[in-house]
Amino acid sequence: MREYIVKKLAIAILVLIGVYTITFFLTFMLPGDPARVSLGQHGSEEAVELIRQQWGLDEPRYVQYIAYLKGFVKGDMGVSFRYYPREVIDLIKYRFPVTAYYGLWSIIFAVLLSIPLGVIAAYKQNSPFDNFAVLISQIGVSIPNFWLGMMLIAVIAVRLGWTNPVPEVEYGYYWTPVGFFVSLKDYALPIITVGTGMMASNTRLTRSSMLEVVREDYITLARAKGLSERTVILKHALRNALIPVVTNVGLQFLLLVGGAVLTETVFGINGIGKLYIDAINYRDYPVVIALTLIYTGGVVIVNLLVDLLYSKIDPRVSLR
Amino acid sequence: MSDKEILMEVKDLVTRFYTEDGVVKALEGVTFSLYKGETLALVGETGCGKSVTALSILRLLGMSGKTLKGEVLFYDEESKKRLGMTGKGPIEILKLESKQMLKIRGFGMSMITQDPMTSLNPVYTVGEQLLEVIELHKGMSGDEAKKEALRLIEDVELTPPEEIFKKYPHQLSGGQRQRIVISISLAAEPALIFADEPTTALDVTIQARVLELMQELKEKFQTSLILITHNLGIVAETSDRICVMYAGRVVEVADKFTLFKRPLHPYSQGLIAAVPVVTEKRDRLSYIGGTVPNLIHPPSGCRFHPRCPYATDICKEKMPELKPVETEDHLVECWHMDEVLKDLEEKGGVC
Repeated sequence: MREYIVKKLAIAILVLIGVYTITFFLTFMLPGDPARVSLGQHGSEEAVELIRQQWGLDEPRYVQYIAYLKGFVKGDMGVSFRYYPREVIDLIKYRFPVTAYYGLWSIIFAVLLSIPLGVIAAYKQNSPFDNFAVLISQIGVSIPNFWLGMMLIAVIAVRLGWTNPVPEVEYGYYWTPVGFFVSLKDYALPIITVGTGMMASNTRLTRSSMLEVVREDYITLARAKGLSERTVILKHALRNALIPVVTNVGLQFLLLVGGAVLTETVFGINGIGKLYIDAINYRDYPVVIALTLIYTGGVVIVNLLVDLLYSKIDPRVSLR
Repeated sequence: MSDKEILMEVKDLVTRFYTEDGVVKALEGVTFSLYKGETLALVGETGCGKSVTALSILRLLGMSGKTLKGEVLFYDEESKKRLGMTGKGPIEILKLESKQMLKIRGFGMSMITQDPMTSLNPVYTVGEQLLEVIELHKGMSGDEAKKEALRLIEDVELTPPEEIFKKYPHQLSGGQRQRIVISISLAAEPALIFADEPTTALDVTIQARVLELMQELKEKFQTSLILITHNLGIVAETSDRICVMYAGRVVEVADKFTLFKRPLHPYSQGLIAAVPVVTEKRDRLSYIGGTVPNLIHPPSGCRFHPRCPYATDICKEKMPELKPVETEDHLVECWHMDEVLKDLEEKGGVC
């Protein structure tokens, strides 16, 4: 097991270098000069040139490439162009808590709703409840989440006035023990916006996986033993049915970042997603590269966790 | 079978499956009885309703299946005690509430499923799966239950029991797994075990030993066995009586020797004749013409008539009933017994 983790992490380093290389050259291929963007249309040529020198943009590409790489190895992610002279790492550290907060709740929301929904739907296949669950998940999968976000703002926040259209919670309060739950009211709409799609796909997966598992011989045998339906379904069927669902939830952690870009734009949340999209718009390359690399690291770690969880759920999986 | 004490009577069982293609008339009045301690073989082609009979009695048909009619009378004293029943009458299985049925399954009657590779839950250890039955039906727990589980593992000749107990199904071979399934089905010492093709999925080399083991354990626990199979070799080896099924009907019931030597129903005759005999010189294997009928639209009257050499108009119109022929215990359902018997006379009495 330890050997497996070490091996995966070693591969991760290669992946990170690859991703860094591709991102570096792709961002610099984008049209538009960061120095020009930051000074605006009326900045003088001299001023732009001065800034280019200051940011090292006048150096050849490969020199810049190596300089950044050296920085990353030392844990230095460089300085933001847009918020010069703030460190990229500080920007990310500042923006991360809020995205983590509603992201985590979105996953909790999706998992807590989808698994019971999927299990009951499968158990009562073709019943009205099942049809309802299938319909809900079909709709949930098809709705684009930015549209859902806007509709939620329009109906629930503006028309009904149940909550604020834009979360109004003091920075960091949501990570205090009380605030973690109290802030739910303000963040309910973003959580639903991000969580609905996840919930929908998880429900479908749980349902179909359960339907497959309950046809297995060992379920017939479990019933023939005289076990109650509850035990048969919750103990014997569910654990087997969850194996594909775990993979899906793992993937959803990664989809959060994509969801965050849209959701944070719609709800005006100053999180990672907003930082990412703004950085691209303002040609803030150091931030773009740093976030992409952190995201890649996240993918590797989540995949590793999914693998570990796999081997816990299914004894047939051995990590090598 | 000197003392013929009845354990179970199955009367006129009618089971349907509701599928998208139509209603499958899987069982159309299945009737047979089972004596204490005997092995009754249910034989017939695939799809004739052998397994469905077992599942109907255990009431495990699933959502699409339903038993519409019939009676299953179960004369097991232990089960009656567990249900808190007093008095002489048998348990009417099909009239029990589902909660009561949970007390019968695994305790009064249990099942050995067909494919050992898929019959055990892959995510629990052998021990956990055995303990479940022991705790449920024997009221044991903790060390006592574990001891019992180890004893059961030993009973099916798996060693060392301590190690087998901790293993997951995928760490065992097919034969070992089937032994575990057998030990699970025996755990609560039920009066009746359904064995659905228990050796079909096993290597030929271990089939015989597993069958022998089942036979030994059956005697040790004084259990009755309903053996579901299409393998007539296994039937000849292990069963006492044979019940031949065709398209959801029981067409002939007799003791093993009678049925192999003097099968009377045209279908049974075809079935027995189709078994190759090495010592005899035959140019071609014998077979029954035609195919197994589609049970969504089964043939009218006697369901065997489209394939039967004796068929006449009455066979197309009316379903025959099981009637004793020659002896009390030899039941056959056929309109043309007289002709069949006459033909047998001409051939010298044996098939």
